[in-house]
Amino acid sequence: MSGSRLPSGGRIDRGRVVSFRFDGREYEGFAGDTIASALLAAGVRLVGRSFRLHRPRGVLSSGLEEPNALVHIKLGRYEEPNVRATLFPLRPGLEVFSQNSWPSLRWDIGAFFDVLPRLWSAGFYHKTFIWPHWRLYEPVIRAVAGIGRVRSPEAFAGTFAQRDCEVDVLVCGGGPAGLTAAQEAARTGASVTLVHTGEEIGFAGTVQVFHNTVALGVFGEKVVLALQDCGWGPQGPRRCLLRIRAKSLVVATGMIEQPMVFEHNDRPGVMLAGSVTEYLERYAVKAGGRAVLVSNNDAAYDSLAAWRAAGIEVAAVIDSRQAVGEAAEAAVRESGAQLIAAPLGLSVLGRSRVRGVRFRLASGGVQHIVCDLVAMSGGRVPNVHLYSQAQGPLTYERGLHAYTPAPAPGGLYAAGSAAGLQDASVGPTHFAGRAHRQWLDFQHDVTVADVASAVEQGYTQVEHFKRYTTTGMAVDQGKTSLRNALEQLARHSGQSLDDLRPPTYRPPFVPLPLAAAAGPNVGRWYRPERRLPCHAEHVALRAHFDDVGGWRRPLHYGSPANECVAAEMRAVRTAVGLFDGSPLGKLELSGPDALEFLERLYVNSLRSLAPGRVRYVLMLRDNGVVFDDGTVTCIGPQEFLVTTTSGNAERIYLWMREWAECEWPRLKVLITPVTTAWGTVTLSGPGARSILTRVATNVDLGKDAFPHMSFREGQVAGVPARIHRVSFTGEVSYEINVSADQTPTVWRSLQAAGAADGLRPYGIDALNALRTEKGYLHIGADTDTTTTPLDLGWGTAIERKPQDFIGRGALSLPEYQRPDRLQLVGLVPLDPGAALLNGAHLVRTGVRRSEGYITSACLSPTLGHAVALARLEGGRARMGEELLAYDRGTTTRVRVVKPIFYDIEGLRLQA
Amino acid sequence: MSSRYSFWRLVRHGYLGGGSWSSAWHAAEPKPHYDVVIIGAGGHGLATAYYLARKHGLRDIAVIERGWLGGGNSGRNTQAVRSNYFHPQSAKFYERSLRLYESLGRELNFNIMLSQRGVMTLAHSDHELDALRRWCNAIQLNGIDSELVTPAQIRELEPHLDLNGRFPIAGGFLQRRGGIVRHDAVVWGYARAAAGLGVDIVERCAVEAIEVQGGKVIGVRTNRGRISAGQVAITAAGQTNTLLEPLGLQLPIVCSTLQAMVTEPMKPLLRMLVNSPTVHVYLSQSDHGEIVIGGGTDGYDSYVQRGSLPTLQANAAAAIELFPVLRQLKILRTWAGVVDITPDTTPIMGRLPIQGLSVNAGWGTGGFKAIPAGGEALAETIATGREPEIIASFGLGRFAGGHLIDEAAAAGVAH
Repeated sequence: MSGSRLPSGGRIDRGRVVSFRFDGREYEGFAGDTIASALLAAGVRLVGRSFRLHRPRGVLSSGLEEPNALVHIKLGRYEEPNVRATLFPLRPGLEVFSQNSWPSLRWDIGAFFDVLPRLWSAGFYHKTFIWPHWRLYEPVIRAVAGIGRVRSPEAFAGTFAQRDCEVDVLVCGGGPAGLTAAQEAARTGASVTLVHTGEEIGFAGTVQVFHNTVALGVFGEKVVLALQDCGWGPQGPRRCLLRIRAKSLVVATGMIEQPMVFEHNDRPGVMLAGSVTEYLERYAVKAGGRAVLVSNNDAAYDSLAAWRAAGIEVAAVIDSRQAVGEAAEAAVRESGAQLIAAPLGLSVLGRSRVRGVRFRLASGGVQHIVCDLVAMSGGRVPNVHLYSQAQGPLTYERGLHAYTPAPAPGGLYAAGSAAGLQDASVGPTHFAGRAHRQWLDFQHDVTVADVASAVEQGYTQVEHFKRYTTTGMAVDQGKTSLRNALEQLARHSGQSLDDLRPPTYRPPFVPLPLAAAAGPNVGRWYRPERRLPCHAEHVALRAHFDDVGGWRRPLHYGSPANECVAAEMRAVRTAVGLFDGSPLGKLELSGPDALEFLERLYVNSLRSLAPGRVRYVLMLRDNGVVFDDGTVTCIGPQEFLVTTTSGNAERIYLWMREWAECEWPRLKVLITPVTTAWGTVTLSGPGARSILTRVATNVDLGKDAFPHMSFREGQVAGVPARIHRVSFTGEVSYEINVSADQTPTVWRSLQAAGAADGLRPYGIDALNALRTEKGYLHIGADTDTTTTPLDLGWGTAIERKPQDFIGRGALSLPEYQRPDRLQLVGLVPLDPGAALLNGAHLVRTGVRRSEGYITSACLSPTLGHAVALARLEGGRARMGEELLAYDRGTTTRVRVVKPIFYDIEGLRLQA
Repeated sequence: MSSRYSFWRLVRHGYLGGGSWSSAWHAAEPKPHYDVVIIGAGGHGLATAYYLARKHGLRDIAVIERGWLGGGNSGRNTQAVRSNYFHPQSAKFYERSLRLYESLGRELNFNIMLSQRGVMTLAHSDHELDALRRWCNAIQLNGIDSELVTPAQIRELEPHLDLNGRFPIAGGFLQRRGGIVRHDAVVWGYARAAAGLGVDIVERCAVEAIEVQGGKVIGVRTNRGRISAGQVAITAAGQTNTLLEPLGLQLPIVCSTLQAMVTEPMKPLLRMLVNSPTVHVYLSQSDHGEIVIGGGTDGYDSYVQRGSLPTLQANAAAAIELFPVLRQLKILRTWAGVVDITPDTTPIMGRLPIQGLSVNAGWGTGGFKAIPAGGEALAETIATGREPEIIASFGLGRFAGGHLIDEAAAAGVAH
């Protein structure tokens, strides 16, 4: 067994043995282990397969930069694909599965791709699979693409909370620089928050610390997104999404060690040198028994003594530089290793685990060294993701071979090693060798040969290069690949690294669970239901609900639907119906210029509107198309009630405010939205008056005292009410507005009062059919954003209005005068038994061209046949014409009629 | 001429000592004069150059780009292609575009990975289903494939879709020929083909001014010197007005940020591009395995290529609402582009009131699918001096006359 656990040391709890499974086999580790450390301790080297070539892969790192050790985990009902084994703590009962191999990790059929690697070079898919058609190859490519897999669609995904903070100074990173920055900032009296990925740290003073927290992204105005791990719950990990708005941001996120570039530097057993040390110190795990260090910097030599002390034999140190520092040389001597400076080539031996290295000396000889671990250090580069996301500029630091933060304005700082504050200098990162066997991006299998090929083909701009080779686009987002890849790009294209810019860093820094981003707004909270004041009454009446205009509204009561809707319609036409219209948009307008304001807003003339009278009104957008309809009620010369369609209630309020505040600030008008303050219960039908009489005490409901299109205030069932006598059904109707909390009382009183007279509640479906019979417009169904009032036959009314109003100017556009505009008409089927469908198009026999379409259709139980409203080219001049209504291949013969089918004289309204 | 791509060439280059690949396109130095200068090397600009050279025999063409080729919306979209538009003018145009896409890989000798796995729009209520029926019938009458599907059929097509979520699914509307295309490949494919026909592609060349004399365009002034030109075409999306305003012209375009994201690459989960106007999200899975998620714009005017956090979160929640299985996945990358939106969400194409100056802009959230037909039509406009029939209704004049083609009104949501 090559890797093994030391008898003592490490920050693991040896008292708690944790058993887990990896690909079905049982292993043991300790509490405090990660999956990666436990697997290394057990001698497991092969943990995954790469994306493109299915190369065998082992653990490369010990942190969040890990590109290789991505696994699928299952614990109880919790599952997660693409988990970095280097981060996930071991838990009892954990099942771990390797990814991207079939039938097994060891014997993977996809490894075939690595037999002819130069065939599957970067961008190969753009050069082939063209004939005869990509669709023939695509299914195969899709099946082999992808890394993770959803094994159980129903699995738990953990729970997520969300928290917002506002702070003067936010420090990201809990290393020495971050702690110092936080402490110093706190000393000035500023409020300070620190987020860091490590365990709890004791912090003296007033700094708020979020531990186990990774900062993921910086959005505009220094809003930092971070994800905190809060332990384990019954549904998996409990995590909290933090949204921290900071005045100043200190990025102290440290550095990330980079690989060296040599042949087969991707083999399982080739690891980052710093991670070898971390596995020793933190987990007491020897990543190998006999190691070769491949380095380009003196700092990496510091670990040699610790390795040796732990029993890792260091066979050789291979450095890309001609000479190394004195201290480094001494460290090599002490470790008893051989120092090989600047060999001409370097290659790793072994397939699914390292068996040795081979290199060519400058003197010409080729040497082999047997080892089971290659530790590499290409130097450390500042972790600038967050700094760059916060729009901080970067400059290239030659000594470090890295992009480092340059000073930024506006409260953005980098601190410590993230700022590039290290005095180490690094040598070449690259050894000579076969370019197509030298890995740059481990997960996506980007090699030096791919870079050369991309450059050869002109993909030399960083963004083209990145996209063409897919460097840095894998799950690890280039944390261990971008530096080396950009160097190779510069080398092959002759560009200077000073001129190259790393690709744009964008959130998230590490992959962010989609469910965390969604936060608590999922399931029934996705868009919380808005319920009517009488929701409970509707439920008791067996209402069938749907979301209409953002409200849960009864479509009809009881089942089956067709029969119920017909019965509800019959009740309204012959007895009386009760309707909950509470979402109706309601606005109160007052002030000396309220009337002038309304005159400018609506198509209708309102100056003649007497107190206590109501008018149906139409509103246009500034381009002359119909926006909304509703009613205006005059309470007094300076006081008006306005209703809008339910769906537009909020939009119209904002529209009014925009005009009042931005366009006509001199008009003295106060606009108050009261939609949800008032519940609206409508009593409609020939029996409406007699039923209202029984509950309304102090309003004279007499035909002449309270005629159609008028308004009264009074008491209904002992509740103060505003009553509009308006109708959307064609029958005598009273729209009774009472305060929202009293609405159920009034609803129940009316229901009780009408029970003996055949009163039935009716829903949206019946209302829609009733208004279609009458040809009343439903804005948004019978109109769209191209419909003008001229198309609706309002030309004469508009000519009569002396004053200008919004949209009037546009109505003279030539397009709006065309005779073949879509105009509102009525339709009836020639065969009285035929149904008409919304969305059917109108065509002439033998002509495959739409001349219009049905916007509202219903079966009229009153008339005994279907009726429909439609928009038809030049429709008003085509009365009596026969057309076909086309619906997905079938046609129905229809006749064009006026858009009103019931009580054409309007006698019932006046009754 | 660049080397031809084929499987055989891959083998030869990889293993039989077949030499090197030639450059897909050359980074050209701008010449002092061109017959045609196209501003903006995105899909539309490059396609225009390609068709000018290929179909109209013009060779003296430069496409100039202030940044890098394909760095605007061509490289920032969600790769959707479809032709299921409501109005006949739009339908005809986008159908032409989809047809061109269907043969583009072969024509350009560049695999653009057109993946016609279908585009499905969901209805969450009977009212919405009515709207889809109207839309579906319109498209069928326009001679384009489309069908309505029932919830049971949807369950078969997309097993992971939750039919009974907060907004239960009442049905859907499907164009099977719709799908996705690898966006960068379209840009690179056109660039390579255009360069092969002698077009100069000049990156990092920013236009400082369009020069006009006596009502006629005479060239452009750039950070790399003056370039005189017989004709100038603008294919610069959101930057169109920045270029035009000094000339006293302003197109009715407002710009807004549209963002998208991808998850980590997964083995196949989604089959189609699924779009819900109500839940306001659309999703597809690329051939690479990433789930691509997009939604509405950030909701305010902006020129910033950086998405806002609230919209990102809304898109994530909406994606999970439709596909609860996505809870297990992680967001890998996010990005944003600036979309140029006209009042009727229909583009502005054709000649401008300055002689020799034409434009192709205002694609809003749907410009990617329009690239082939947009390039083809603008090329014909430049070459013949008049707009072809297929874009006759897309002219600037429609705003004066009021003849708008409101696809948003028809479709509810664009993508």
